[in-house]
Amino acid sequence: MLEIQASQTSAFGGPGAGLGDGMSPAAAMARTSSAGSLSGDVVVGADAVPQQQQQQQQHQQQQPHHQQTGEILAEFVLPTLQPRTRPAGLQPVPGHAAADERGAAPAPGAQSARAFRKQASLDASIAALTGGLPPVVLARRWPAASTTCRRWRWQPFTNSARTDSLALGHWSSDPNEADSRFAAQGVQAQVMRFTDEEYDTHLKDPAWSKEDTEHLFALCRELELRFYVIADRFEGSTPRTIEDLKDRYYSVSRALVAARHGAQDPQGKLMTAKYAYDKTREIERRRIIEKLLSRTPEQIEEEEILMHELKKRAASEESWNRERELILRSLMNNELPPQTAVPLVPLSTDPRKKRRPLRGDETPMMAQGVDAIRRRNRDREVDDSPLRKEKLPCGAFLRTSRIQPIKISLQTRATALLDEYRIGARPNMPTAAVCAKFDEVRQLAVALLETKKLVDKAEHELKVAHIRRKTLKDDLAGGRKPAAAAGPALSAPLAGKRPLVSPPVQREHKRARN
Amino acid sequence: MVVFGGDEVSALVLDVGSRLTKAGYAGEDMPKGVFSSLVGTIPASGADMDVDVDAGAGPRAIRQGGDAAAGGAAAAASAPAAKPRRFVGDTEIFRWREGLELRSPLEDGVVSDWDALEALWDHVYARALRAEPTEHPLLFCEPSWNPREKREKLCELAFEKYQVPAFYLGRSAVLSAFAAGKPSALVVDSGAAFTSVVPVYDGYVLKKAIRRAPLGGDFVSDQIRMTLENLGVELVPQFMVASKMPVDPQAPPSFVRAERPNTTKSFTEFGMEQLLQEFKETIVQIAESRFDEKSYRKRPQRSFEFPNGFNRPFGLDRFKCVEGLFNPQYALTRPGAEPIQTTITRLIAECTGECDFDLRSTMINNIVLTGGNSLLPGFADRLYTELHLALPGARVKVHAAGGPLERRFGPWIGGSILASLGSFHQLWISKQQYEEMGPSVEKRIH
Repeated sequence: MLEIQASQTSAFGGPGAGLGDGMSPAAAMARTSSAGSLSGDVVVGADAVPQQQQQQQQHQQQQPHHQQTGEILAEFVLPTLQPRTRPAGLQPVPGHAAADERGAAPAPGAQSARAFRKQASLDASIAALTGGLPPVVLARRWPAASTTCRRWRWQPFTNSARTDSLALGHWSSDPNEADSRFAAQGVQAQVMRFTDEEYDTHLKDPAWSKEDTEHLFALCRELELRFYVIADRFEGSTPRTIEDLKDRYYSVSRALVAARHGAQDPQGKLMTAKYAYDKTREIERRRIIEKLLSRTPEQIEEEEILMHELKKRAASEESWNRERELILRSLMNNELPPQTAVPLVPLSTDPRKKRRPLRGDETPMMAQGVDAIRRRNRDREVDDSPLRKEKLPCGAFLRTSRIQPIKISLQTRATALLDEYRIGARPNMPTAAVCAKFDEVRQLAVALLETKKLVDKAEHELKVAHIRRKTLKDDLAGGRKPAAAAGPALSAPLAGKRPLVSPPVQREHKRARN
Repeated sequence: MVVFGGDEVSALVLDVGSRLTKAGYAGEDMPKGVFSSLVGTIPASGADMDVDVDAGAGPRAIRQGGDAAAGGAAAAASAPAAKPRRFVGDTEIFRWREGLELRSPLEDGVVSDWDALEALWDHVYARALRAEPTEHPLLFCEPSWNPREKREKLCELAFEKYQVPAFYLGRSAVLSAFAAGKPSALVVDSGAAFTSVVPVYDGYVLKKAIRRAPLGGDFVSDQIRMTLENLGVELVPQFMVASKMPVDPQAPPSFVRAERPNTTKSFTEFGMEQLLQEFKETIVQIAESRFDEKSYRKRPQRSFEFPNGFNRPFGLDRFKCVEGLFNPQYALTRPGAEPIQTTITRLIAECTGECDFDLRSTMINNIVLTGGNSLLPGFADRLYTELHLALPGARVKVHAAGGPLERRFGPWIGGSILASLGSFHQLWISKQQYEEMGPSVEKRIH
């Protein structure tokens, strides 16, 4: 703000600019304000006044349009200065004035006139300082405040929510204040009252005496049906639980409503509903809460673990479902939309069915569906191509690239075996059927080699066993002790390994021989 | 200060605690008069003659105030020669005087010495607030377990002796809960004499579940004192020291003992308490987590200079001496004294166990910590840690006011809020009601 003011001043080339040449805007501002508070920093003496005025006049002559700004100045700046122009009657006491004017302490009579003159000159000098421009911050002329204001009195007041006439005092602007404005907050709970007669005819209960009932109702009224507190404060003939108290209160209220309104009255029904209370249910609820709150830390921990597990499962269920769908679709050869119901062709009509036993890991339903698709495929395509089973990559690809590779350990021997039968590395005519057959042959060759390996191993073991048997026999015959070290060490691992020869391999072996 | 829903009736709020008496105008944020609750007396005897002018200023001022206030007070004070001399207020009792006996009007939080209470009450009106008792309704903070006869006596005192226009007894736990802005809370008030755990439901105390134990500031002071004695530190209160010379740490002190003949035991204890109070405020800290000597030994040491000039650093003992609040096995006991077996955590667990099942989670969720003893550094953190371990599965929330003044003056601030509310006008017990019902009017205050 100050910078703006300074630049404006210098732009107009006013006397303020000259004064502010060697002065920072902030310092200028500070001086302006100190001049206003009569400290006499800027205006040192009376002789300074004509010079300033002269400057101003000169300035106005030079730039006529400043006449206008001068008026604005009067509008905006002078009001802010006005409070400082003390009327003669309100001159400060001499001591204060002396302090104000830094030691210059003239006689009290002459002082007022001089001070006033000085004040007038001040205004002019400030106008000169600001360059005759209005300040950026506009001093608003506030509308004159109304002369009358509300009278606040310390006056006593009463509160109609009280039963007595206690008059407390407070500050108030309203002389005829009738009632405390907080009286409306004194709402009390509606608790029914009963007469002795009503008690005798309707409300008798073997578990409750009349005194206890009355004590309960008094507490309900005073504590406004806060039953936790009522249960705390209840001092009857016998200790009672909060359920007992609630049950008594609500049953008495219900009985009173029924007695007063009759059972059929709609309002009575409404009120009876208001006083509904089921004690057994509350006790059951309490029992459950008690159980919940009396869990041991271990139980809480276990529960947390279970909850966590459940959440994890719920989260993974979706992905699990998606995977299942995917598998199913790949089984269905990607040709059927997943929603399409597969027509269930009676299995007996299919002559080839008997050749195709159910695989163990397929459910009958799945097998049916897959069979149906396969049957349809077989009509157009080669029977049972292994390529069919896998998901085809998108785009063009060489069919030979889909041929399953041979295990590296068996590669040389398999190639040698295939060479023996004059089967090359690739089929000469790679149609789907040929490729499938080719692949099958290769896999069978591998299977054959693997089986051969197993057979060799088994034969070797047999041989070893024979030798051992023979040596043992010899030992027995010769009366020597058996060499324990070699025997079990050899036989035990072999015995363990034998079942590892997996059934599928054996089956493959048979098929290969066929 | 603008209070929402407020309507000032220029009520006074008075809270007489075990250590401090707080008095001030309702609607203000801090009490105007805070002074020690101890009342000093010098038995009326020959010693009366050489008491200096300064000492007489207190009782005389009270007498003047009492004259203006009530006839009863004037009558009681009209024969000063026969009565023991009485000293109230910090400027009076902190000065050593020959044969000055100090006593608290409270015992177990409940008023037992009514003369001393009246002396405090007089001091509030005559000197601390300079107010006319007949012009201001009075809200008096009482302990939550205040028995009926004491409440009746309080009503009687207020209406008969001081002629207050309206009176109310606010239970300190309820007021502390209000100061924290909660109508329902579990108020853990760790004051000078004891720590109390009070459940507050909807502005009412549930009396049957209140639990308290002498685990307050005095207990801590005693623990510190025993720790220092075990370390071989000679405790000399400030008033026994005439002059001292600076010495190196751990070096024997060099000081001149002041001549204080006929010092009473209670005044020595009071001087000792001031020393320990300073020690508490500067050195002592509560372990934030479970205390184990190994890890807390590494904490930085702090040095303390005793009034006699002896100074030494304190390391592990800073934590160990207050561990008895949460861990009874670290509590030191004087020979022959019964050890305190409970802890603050156990008090809270017992109290919540006593509450209705439906209220338990509310209570544990709204624990309000207040009282001067809770200002020991680390108190709130430790309480939270302990509660977390003691109440598994519960959502523990401890509300502890940040400023030390809010916690020291918790009940008073709550009373100030309550008494300045417009809706509270209906709850005042008026003089008229007292005249109708007599002292049993206290039944109307729940």
